[in-house]
Amino acid sequence: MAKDRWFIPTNTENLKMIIAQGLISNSDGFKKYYSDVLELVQGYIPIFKNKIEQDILTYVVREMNDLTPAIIEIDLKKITGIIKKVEDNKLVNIDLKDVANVDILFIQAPLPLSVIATMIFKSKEDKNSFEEDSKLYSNVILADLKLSSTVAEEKLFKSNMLSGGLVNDFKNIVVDVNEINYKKVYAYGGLLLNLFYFAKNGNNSNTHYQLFLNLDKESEKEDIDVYDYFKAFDINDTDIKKKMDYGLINIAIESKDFKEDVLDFLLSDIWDERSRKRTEELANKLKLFESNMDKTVSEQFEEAKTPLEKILLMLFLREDSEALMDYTLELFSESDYLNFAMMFGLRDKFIKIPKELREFNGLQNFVSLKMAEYAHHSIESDVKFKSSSKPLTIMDMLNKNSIKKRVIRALKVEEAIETIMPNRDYKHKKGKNIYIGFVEPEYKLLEDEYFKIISTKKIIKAEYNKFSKMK
Amino acid sequence: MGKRKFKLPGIDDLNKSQDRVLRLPEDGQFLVVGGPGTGKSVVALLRALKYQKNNNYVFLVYNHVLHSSTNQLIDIRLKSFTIKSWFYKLQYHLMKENMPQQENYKPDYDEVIKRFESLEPQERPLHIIIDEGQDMPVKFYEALTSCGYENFFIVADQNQQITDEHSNRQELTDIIGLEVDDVIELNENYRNSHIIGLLTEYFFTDPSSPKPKLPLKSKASLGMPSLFEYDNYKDCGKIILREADKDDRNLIGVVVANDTLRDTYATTLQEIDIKLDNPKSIISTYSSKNKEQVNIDFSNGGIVVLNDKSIKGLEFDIVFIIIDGFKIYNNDSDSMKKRFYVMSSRAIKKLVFFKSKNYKDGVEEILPTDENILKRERLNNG
Repeated sequence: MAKDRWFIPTNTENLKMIIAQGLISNSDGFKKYYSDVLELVQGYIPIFKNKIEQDILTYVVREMNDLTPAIIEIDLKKITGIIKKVEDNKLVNIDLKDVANVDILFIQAPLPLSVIATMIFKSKEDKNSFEEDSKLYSNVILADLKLSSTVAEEKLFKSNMLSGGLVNDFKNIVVDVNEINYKKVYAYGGLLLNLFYFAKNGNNSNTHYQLFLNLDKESEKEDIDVYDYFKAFDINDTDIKKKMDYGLINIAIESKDFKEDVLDFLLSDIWDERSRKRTEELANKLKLFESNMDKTVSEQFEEAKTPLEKILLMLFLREDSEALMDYTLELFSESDYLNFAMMFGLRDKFIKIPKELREFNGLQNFVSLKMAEYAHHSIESDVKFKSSSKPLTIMDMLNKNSIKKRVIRALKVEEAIETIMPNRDYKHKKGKNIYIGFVEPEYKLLEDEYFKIISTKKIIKAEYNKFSKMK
Repeated sequence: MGKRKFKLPGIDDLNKSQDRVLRLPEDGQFLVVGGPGTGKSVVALLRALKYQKNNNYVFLVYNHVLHSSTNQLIDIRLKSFTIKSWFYKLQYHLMKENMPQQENYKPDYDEVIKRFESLEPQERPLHIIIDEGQDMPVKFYEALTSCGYENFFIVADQNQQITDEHSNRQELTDIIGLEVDDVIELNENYRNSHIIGLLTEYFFTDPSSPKPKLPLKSKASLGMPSLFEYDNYKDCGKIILREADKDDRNLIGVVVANDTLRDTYATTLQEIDIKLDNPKSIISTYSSKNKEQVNIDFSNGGIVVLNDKSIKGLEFDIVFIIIDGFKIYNNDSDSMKKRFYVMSSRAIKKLVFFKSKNYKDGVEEILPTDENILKRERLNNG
């Protein structure tokens, strides 16, 4: 007996958005959405077994007469935890072992890209056209995703069966779910992608990336407000530093007019008298920085008194993460870049992180998975996903003995390497140090030297992908 | 200098009207209208990229500067031409005779149509994509249809007509055989900030086409367009150089009224010596009168000094408009407003006007007096 296949019907416009945003979400997780099945059951995604009725296929392209249907095939083996079916207008739990007896499953949204088995099109022309179209956008990235359109699959779009009012039945399903803060979830994705990239700068940056990967695990308390912000789901802090940091993080995530909202925030009446003097001073500095009449940018960064001031200047100076990755100043430290990376990631979110970075081998699907896990963790859902392979950061590679030397050479950072011979007896003969037996030197990264070189170097996709294949 | 290239839009950057344009079939006649910054040129370019593989298209733009800019910012080799140069070549290719002209570089379209109609009827499957289609006369389109072309994708903005010979929306609709309802309107301004959009709107003159929707409203304490009155034009130069230094990927447009001012500003910007973070920006300029190749590098940040007639269709991160030299003739303030509409709508992030304290040629009367739209300041840079 052929194994069951599980499908989400949609249209190609939504499919592009799903890839761009990195999650199969409900309609409320889309910035631009065309009516399809993702709007029918609040908080849940309906998944059809083996076939899709004609009226459902019509429904997913009903918004405009030139939309094209597409089907996402889900690999159910990559989803664990609680799955539901409908019974008397309610969703009830079903054991994964029993799914063979059910025609439509409901899984709590969102799902990561990593659970997509394939994206199915009703003809080869549609498939080719989708592939070509994806090249017209900066964020419809097909890396790690499979497209298909076999003769058998084409039949999926030609069902003669009608569902008998499934759309209405779906709409009548009573659910009680916690709402997901999608902006925060996507911001977490942006943050992870940027931290992954800037982990190249040194071990401190790499440690931060690893820390943010494991938000659901208990870890040693770090004094990083962004970290606390993502760990907590109910934020109400009166501590002045947290108030400032959380306020700015909120603006970075929520605002459509970042600079204006930052100024409003700094000049608002939420500050006590002592803080107000400082916040007003900061607002004036930022205004001056914008008008830029007398001083160079580096002079203004040099005058910045605090890390926060530097972060704000950078957020005012550069519009997105791509521009940040292109910008270096000698006076920036590793922690400066780390701070910039986090705040730019939050502001850009997953969808605006440069294509070049999202095309690093395995990274898009991995971060999508982390976003989905975070979303489910935030609403305490029971849905879990099988982990996918974790891409190594540049720093991970430099810490991995089997490839370390090759990566160092390829990055041209030999000047930042110290070779240490073991403390063993040797003979000195004709200008050579001779050891008995095998002697393995240790290669130690001189972090300061390394940072000086690597902080000004942009890692490109081709380079990373080459390293990622090294064994 | 920082590298610039045409940034492909994100799928989330396009609205549903723009999505619809990208879904249009390859064959057929299509007219897309919209104001500056509504993404007309972007969808035209994306359409060219989409059908690049078939190699059965031409992408036509009005002027040499725009042609050069488009080609430099795109990674692939577009089949792109200026409209007239392509039309002259086409006429020669079909007729093996020189273009009949009313005057220099002004085709005698009636004669061309007669010639084209004398040809054996033939289907011509080439896809003609035209940016700024309003700047060509109806008879240009008539000539193309008369020799068998039928696949047109035209983007146009009636409010940006800068030529004497031009077509309006109705004429374009009629000539390519569309129903009024088939015309696709793009209404949202994506290029400018709200406050720049507000100023641009002030120069809008065409009562027959809808104003582009303003971008999301902001409080506009930053980025307000400013009009600086200066004593010494070199102070303007210093501000322009500092702005360029702030982000070396920015393309900065300095727009002037005539060639004398163009030379003055290009030379002054080269000569000024002030402290900067980055190597001094590349300063380039071009005049259509020179008939030289456009030697402006649009793929890097820098400063470009241009006459207002050459900036059509281009966009700059920051635009400085030098008011000196612009003069309203015969009380025709509408024509001047159209020119200011085109100039000011080129700015993405910032728009600044400079005016000598001695300037008295009337343009001020078309500028908004509302300080919430255009801030007036004295420039005393030292």
